[in-house]
Amino acid sequence: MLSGLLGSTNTTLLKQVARFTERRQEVLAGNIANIDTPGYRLREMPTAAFQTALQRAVAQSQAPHQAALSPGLQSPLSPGLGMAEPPKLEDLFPDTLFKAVTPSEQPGLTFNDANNRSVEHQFLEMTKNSLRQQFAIQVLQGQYDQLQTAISERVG
Amino acid sequence: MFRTLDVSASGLAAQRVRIDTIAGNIAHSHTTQDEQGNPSPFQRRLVVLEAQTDQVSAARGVGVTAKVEVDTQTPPRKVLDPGHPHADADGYVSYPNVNAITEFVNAMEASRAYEANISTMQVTRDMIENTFRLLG
Repeated sequence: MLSGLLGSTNTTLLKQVARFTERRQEVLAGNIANIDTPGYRLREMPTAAFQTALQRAVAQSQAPHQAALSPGLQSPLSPGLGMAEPPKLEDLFPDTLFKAVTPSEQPGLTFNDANNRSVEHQFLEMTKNSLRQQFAIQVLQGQYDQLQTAISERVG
Repeated sequence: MFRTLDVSASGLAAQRVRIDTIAGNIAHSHTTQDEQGNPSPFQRRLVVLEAQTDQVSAARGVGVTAKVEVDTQTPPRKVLDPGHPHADADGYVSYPNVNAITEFVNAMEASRAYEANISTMQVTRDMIENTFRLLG
């Protein structure tokens, strides 16, 4: 029962977002560390692929999933807290989504030392990335707080 | 997440090596004899930065390593000064191949890159603190 609650749809997705943003921060930090390395090419995480996977996961979790529950388990909980096939959602986020790549086509200027550094762009991405992580963590915190409220059967 | 701090720290260390090397070059910009006391101009040191390409970083953030090399290519600066004890047969003294302007520009670049790594560490720190808040 508890694993069903803790592994509810939103929690799974938020966990993936936090995991992705934290890994991406590492890649962006690597780009900054190599800002003066000759021949270094900027690296990125497959953000577009991750967004697609996230969209698919959201769509899947919003689809009616009553069929997935056996008749005896008709949950009185709200749909967001239902047991919506957690293993399937995890499968939408394979490990390849969390591997850094060196995009073959990159915008921006390549300098004389074959490095295509761009501090502004990297810090912009870092700020956005950090805010996304903060968002995911805070919503996750909110969900755990709700759970805490439900467990203790009182508010505050 | 803690590996991110290591990556930024490697950047800090590399830029620190650059600054140290530049400081040495400037300090020796007029040194005309070696440790043994023989007339031989100091040769400028330069830092070669390399991305850390190992198994772990192949799919993750890449740190940086710094190696100090000696610039043997740039010729020494010849100054006519026949009275100098290290002057050659023609009266020229070989001064180190250090160009103060190049060194100062490199120093500025290294210092800015150091700051960029510090800022990155701050962002990473904030993210780690966010995560820790989940613990209660």
